[in-house]
Amino acid sequence: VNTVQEVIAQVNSILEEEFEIEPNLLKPEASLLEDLDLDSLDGVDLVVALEKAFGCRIEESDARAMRKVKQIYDYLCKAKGIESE
Amino acid sequence: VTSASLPQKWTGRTRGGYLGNLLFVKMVKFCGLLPAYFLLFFVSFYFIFFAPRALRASLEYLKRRFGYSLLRRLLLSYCHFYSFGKILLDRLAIMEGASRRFQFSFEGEEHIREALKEQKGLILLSAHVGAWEAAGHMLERIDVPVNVVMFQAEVARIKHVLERAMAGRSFKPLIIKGSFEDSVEILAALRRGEIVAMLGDRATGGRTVELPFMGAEARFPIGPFAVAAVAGAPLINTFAAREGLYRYRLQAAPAVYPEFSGRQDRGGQLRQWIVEFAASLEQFLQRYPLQWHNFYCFWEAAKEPKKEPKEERLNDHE
Repeated sequence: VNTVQEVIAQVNSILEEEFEIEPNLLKPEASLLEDLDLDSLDGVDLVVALEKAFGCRIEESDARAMRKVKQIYDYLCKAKGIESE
Repeated sequence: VTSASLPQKWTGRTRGGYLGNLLFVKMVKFCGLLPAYFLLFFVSFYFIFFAPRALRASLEYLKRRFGYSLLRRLLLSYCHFYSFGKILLDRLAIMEGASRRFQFSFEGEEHIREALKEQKGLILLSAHVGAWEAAGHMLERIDVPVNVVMFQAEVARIKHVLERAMAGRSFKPLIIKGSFEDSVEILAALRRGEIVAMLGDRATGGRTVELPFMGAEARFPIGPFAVAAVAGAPLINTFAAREGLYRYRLQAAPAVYPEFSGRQDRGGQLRQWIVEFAASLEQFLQRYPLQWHNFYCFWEAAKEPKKEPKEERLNDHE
């Protein structure tokens, strides 16, 4: 992935396919817990799925800080050296 | 696989009150265990008369385990509470530095050492049996940090006991707050190559699976196996039993390596792993029937209303 759009597309694809989230819920400001109904076990599953897809390690403190979808986009853009919008 | 609300009738509350606990602490410290056991002989009646929920849970368990008449089970419930009290007193004695008087045997230590070699951490899965302090005493020689997963309500009540038990040891509480990041903390501990000790016989708000246990449906948490599978960490069933006066035995089974074979039928795979854990717990209770100290209505929890199920996400079509 080389662009912000590609990061967003890949994250959304993981959330849709692996966590069966409806595409219309995938908004940057959506809360993982309240809007997407992900629980603690989903959280760890999501961290590992993102790491596999993006080939990077997400540290505990960073994972704990991710509360909204936008924070995932921003974190992964930074990890991949892509300037986010 | 379903999401369970916290068991309605379990609060993590420790009985006895400050003065009662203090009396036993001083007695163990200055007089030793045997006089404290003697006092406990009388105090255990308290639970028969004044702890109706615990008594009900004990009677229910004993009915499933032995099938005796109510009168016989009442007598056995007294023994059940007395057995629990003795383990609590042993715990006090160990914390007060009397561990040299105890004999600890450790079966399967090699399984734990072998599993840790892979540097993927290790989940030690146990149940409300025996005494984890005794198990902890034996785990000290493994020389790897041990994270003890605890429910927040428990921690508030036994904070001072925890602090003393863990002081100067490589034990640390990993507190489940019911928040999004609980499992992330467990994942981080495993990735540091540490041990995470969890109990697999009480649903504390997370997702659960219902399966037959001692002849009726009961609810078990999926968390330990789900985290192990996602993290790629080994998992070992461990039970610490009180074998007799000053004698404890920790048994560790060979490691299992839960691994999802895909997103299809994750629920079925989790269920199969938990069925095996439940079978090993039943086997333990065949040998030590009065050492299951899970004093809440375990089977009734399965009848309580469930929150929004997550079958679809897990493709679980049980």
